[in-house]
Amino acid sequence: MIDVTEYVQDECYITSLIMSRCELLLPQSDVISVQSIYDIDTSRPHTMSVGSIKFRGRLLPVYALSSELTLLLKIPDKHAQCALVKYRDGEYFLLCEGVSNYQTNQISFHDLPVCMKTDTMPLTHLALYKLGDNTEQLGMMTNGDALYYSLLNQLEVRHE
Amino acid sequence: MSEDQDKSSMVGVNAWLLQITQGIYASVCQFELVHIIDDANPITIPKAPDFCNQVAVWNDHVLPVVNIASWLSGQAQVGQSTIAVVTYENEHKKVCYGGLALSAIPYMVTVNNSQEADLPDKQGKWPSVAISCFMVEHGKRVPILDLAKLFVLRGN
Repeated sequence: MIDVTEYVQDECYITSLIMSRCELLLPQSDVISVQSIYDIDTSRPHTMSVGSIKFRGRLLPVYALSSELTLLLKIPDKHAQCALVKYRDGEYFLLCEGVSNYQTNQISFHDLPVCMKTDTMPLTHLALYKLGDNTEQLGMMTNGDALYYSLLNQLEVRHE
Repeated sequence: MSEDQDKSSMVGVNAWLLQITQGIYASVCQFELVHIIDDANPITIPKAPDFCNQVAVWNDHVLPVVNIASWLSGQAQVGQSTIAVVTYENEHKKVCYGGLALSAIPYMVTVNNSQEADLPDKQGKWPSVAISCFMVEHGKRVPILDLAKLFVLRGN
């Protein structure tokens, strides 16, 4: 697991990606752009992706995830946006229902409990915050690298 | 053992009896259980191990909910709608909170030394998370949980 504690604290904003019943939170600096689902070219998909999008002259994979963060081969209902996420060695698109931003000072970060950690766990923290109607919401904090290595792990497992 | 100690061990101490699932019980000391969430609506955490893949939000704490039935069987379990909020000191002497998935509301029992018993499965998983064990009515064996050890179990 990658420790991003300092990384998170230095960020002023967190980007939220809604995926079915799961809300993924990433440092805003890890989300470069948001494209429409209509930009996806499904004719030449990368391995385990639902298609690709041409961005600055390069074809980048578009991955779809379930609320359990497992790779899907079809575009899920309601997923209309593609967030361009950067990781150490490149970028990939992630399908989601919606994208929004929060200020970090609105969020209370909690360490992921020890008993929840696994070798393939992409989450780094759990994040508690309040919505406009004062109801509490729990987000799952990750980052571009941790999420990519979780995807890579699934790709390798399916190839074995 | 002094006479006073002997008397107190026979008088007994209070403990919470927790029904983990049908036929599986555990207990914690009176002061380790701080709240009961009935009809809980925990949140599932993706990629977490089956025995601890849910959290509950309580008093601004995000509580990992350990499902001992799932941990013992190695399979996901359903039907536990009660969460016992427990408190313990971790290895760094920090006060921590956690949740235990239960299938019934806990109740208090008084336990004394005459009820000491072997763990339900001495060779299995219980010894790694239990301090000792006692027996209650109908031959139920009730391990006493070591919460500091339970909440640092790893999925792999």
